[in-house]
Amino acid sequence: MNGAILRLVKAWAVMGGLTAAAVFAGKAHGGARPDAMLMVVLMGLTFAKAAVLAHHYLDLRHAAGWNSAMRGSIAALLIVLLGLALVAG
Amino acid sequence: MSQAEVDGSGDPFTGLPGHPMMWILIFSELLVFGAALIAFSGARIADPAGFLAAQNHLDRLTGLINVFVLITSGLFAAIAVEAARAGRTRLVRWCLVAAALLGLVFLGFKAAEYLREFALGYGIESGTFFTLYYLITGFHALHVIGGILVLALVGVWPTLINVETGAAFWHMVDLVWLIVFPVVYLVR
Repeated sequence: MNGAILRLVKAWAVMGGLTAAAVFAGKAHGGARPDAMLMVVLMGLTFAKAAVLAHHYLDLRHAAGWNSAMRGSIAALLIVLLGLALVAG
Repeated sequence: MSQAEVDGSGDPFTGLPGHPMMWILIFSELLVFGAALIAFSGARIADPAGFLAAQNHLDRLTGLINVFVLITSGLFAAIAVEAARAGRTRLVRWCLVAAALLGLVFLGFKAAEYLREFALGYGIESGTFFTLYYLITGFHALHVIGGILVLALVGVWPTLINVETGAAFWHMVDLVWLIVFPVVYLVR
């Protein structure tokens, strides 16, 4: 069980790090106009966090098909959101 | 009865933790929040300057703190599942209590954020941005309240399938916030 807890704590640290990176990217930009690269970075970091959460917290490690479906759904949503953000920019 | 029905082979829910119906709910909720976020991003196209001005009034720090609060809460819920698998009921209950308390902390920060925005004069009728902002984050906050109740119920009856099912719901709430935060607070 200790190994499982360590794995979950590592997943927590990775998600925390990705969140900090997203905020840093947003602050580093700071411009009044949207930036395409910033959007791509933000959505990429969000996808990475969601994938870690699905794999370790939602525990889809042993359900490969559902894990792929979850990641695919999130990726599709984020791509649509990215496209809309770029159009708005 | 076929062999597949007897041994469960070909069961599409094989490998999923918790009750299968929870997974149908999780995907349904992702569709609902996805549609709301698409509406939010679509509305931004009509008024990008207005959205940017309104977004600058949001408290990013509170949103960020709430990301850490929820992923930490999710950690405790995930540990509760591992404890349930190991048959450590006492640890399960403590982890569920910690997860639920952090859910209350999330709601406290959210309430403080709402009060600050109300004090600045930004209510649900202060333009499209704030209407969608309050609808999306308010609907999510209702899910947090529902999740806390689920965790409390699971804590009373901490069987493995109950803990897995309750934790899966809680992680869905966590997952939604991971997507809401950058779209509403950071994308500009």
